Amino acid sequence: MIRFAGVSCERDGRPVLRGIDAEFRAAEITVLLGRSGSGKSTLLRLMNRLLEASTGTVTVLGRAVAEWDVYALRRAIGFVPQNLGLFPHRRIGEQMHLAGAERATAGDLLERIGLPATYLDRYPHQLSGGEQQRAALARALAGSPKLLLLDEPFSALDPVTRRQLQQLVKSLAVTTVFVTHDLREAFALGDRIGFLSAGKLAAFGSRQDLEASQQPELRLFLETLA
Amino acid sequence: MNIAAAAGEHLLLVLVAVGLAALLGLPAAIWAARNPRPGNYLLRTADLVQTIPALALFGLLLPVIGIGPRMAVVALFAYALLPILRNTVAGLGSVPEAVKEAAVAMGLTPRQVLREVELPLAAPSIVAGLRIATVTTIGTATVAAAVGAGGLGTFLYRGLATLEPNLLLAGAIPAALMAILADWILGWIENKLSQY
Repeated sequence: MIRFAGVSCERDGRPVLRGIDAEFRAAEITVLLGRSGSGKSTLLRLMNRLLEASTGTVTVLGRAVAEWDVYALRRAIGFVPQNLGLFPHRRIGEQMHLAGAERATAGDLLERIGLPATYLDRYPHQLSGGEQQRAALARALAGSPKLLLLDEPFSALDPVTRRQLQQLVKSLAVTTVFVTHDLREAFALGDRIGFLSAGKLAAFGSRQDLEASQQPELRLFLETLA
Repeated sequence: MNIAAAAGEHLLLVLVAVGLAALLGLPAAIWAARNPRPGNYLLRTADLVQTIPALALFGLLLPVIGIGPRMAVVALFAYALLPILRNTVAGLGSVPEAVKEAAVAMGLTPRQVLREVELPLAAPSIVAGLRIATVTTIGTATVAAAVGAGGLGTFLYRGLATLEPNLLLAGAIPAALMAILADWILGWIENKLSQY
């Protein structure tokens, strides 16, 4: 589905990612875990070319991202940034339409995400925090993407709403890459988890693999569970 | 000359000058917002023009363009440019990064991002710039009478020369009313564009 081969990335002349080799499988939720500044959001943005790799190759759906028409690549990928990026001046339905959904399918999609179809005519500020997260998710899914990239979308939510939305993401059955700094969230969601430390992929595997890892920074994360 | 004809001349001067400033200022501001370094030089140049007193600017333009309405329009245009540039750049700069990133990630082209997201969100600020430009130009345009461009300033200069208060009022009152009306209309539009 997605493959990183020898990928590094510099931002403002500073190395943010180094020597990343990884494969993200189809129909799985892969979580990227790490502390702030570990490079996980950068790694995510290399997949839809919001950022470009300095060296190495990122392959999405069998083709190197550099060979894709960048707009076609982005339309094939749903994206929810940390602050959601909902357009304050556009109704939810209009935003979903911009992302590629017809009105009828947009209403169905909204209901599947747990919002009434009447919300198509609402503006983001008329929605609660949890509803805005759902709307952002619905917009990301509006173009029937093959891949969903979520960058800490639930970090500002109360634990109950957060749990509901995690379950929703699991139920979508779309290949997903999910960035978080929350180990509990990573374990709750991830089929596989990549642990990033100082721009390197320090561990990558199942929950059991991570629990067995001796990587010092990851041990610090695991201690927070105790 | 009657007041209505003078007010008509005055309004025409203002509309042509502000219209041209908007026509040139908007694309220039979009460019300046995209290219902050050279854009900053553009804004400073516009700042500099603003510091030249109106009569002095007319004097400077006199040998180049000659006397008459055309020169007045050029000078008024130069003054109207700054608020339009500044407010458009500020408006575009105030669009949240996450909103722009989401639009780009959606697969929108740069032109679509500008049309669908950046310009609508910057619109209240852009209109605020037009409002400042229009109201100040209505005032500055009274000076245009000094270079034979006509308008309501004609009464002011005649009134000053003859110490005739009625002539002064015949120039000042319609100009003030025009400014108040323009402020009110553009303020209303600005307010409408901020509501969603």
